[in-house]
Amino acid sequence: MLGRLRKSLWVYHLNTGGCNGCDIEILAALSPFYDPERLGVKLVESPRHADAFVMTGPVTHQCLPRVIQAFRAGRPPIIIAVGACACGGGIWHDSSAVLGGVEPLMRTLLELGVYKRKPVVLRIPGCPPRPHAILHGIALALGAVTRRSTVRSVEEEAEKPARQRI
Amino acid sequence: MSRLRVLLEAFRGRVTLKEYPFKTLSAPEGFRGLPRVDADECIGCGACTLICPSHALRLVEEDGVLVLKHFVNRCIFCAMCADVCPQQAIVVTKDYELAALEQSELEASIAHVMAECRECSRRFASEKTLEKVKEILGDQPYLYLCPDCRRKFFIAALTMGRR
Repeated sequence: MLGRLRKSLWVYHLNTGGCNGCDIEILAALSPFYDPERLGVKLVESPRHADAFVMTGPVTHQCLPRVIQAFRAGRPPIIIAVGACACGGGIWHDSSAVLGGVEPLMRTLLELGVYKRKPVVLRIPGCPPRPHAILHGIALALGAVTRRSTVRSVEEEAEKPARQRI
Repeated sequence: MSRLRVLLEAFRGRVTLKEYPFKTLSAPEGFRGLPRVDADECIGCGACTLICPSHALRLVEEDGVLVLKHFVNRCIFCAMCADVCPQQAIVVTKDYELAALEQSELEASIAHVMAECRECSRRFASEKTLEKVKEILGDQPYLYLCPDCRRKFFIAALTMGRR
């Protein structure tokens, strides 16, 4: 999917109001134990250098102006949503104080004209996801590994047309 | 002692790098991964949807069919659904490699046939739930009535002859 990217994936870590759980797992994934730099993944300090934003958190209203500022500066073609909060709002999905994950944020950014069309979004669910899950997600997006497990079971996929008939 | 061992390993020059994304690693004992719902065992009672803290499991009615939807995006893998399931239909697996580029890859659903109310023919619950209730309580007079009709008939039975 990201094969079109002709360089190494440089990521910028953006906390969008998360609890720090996912941030710690991202740091664990960046440790020499797993060494993501052999995949070309490097953490950069400025949103302007980044190809991808790694966002953690349900996008609280408090941090929304800064998040929009960072997206305006970087305008990355890839967004990596790490954790249940960033993916779909998590346990805060119906709270009045949050925007609720990457999908509403995307809508807001499209409305504001930060993006002309939808960027690629990689979702890594988990609360928090293991460092392995984050690495696997990035490797999957880069096309380095194949998918090993799916949410839907094989039988469920086969039976689905039959169930829809009921 | 353990520090000495670390030092010895460092001198031996052993590689500690995990070749992770290219080789599979199983999760440790007690790890809570993706909960999978067995479609044959599930009766559509909705106990898991009530306990789910992030409402990742939802029971919705779509064109007369009751659908149990698992929205894995929001799932926090707390495994409370597996605890409350009366049928033990939800199994907590150790799957954690769930990253997806498409939203549709993170959704699973199970459809249930709904039972009709014998009075007003409104669809109100899954047939499998009523079967389960019948299995536990035996034949009940109000079992195949929707909550509204059940209330109406019950009040009528209570007030009979007292007017």
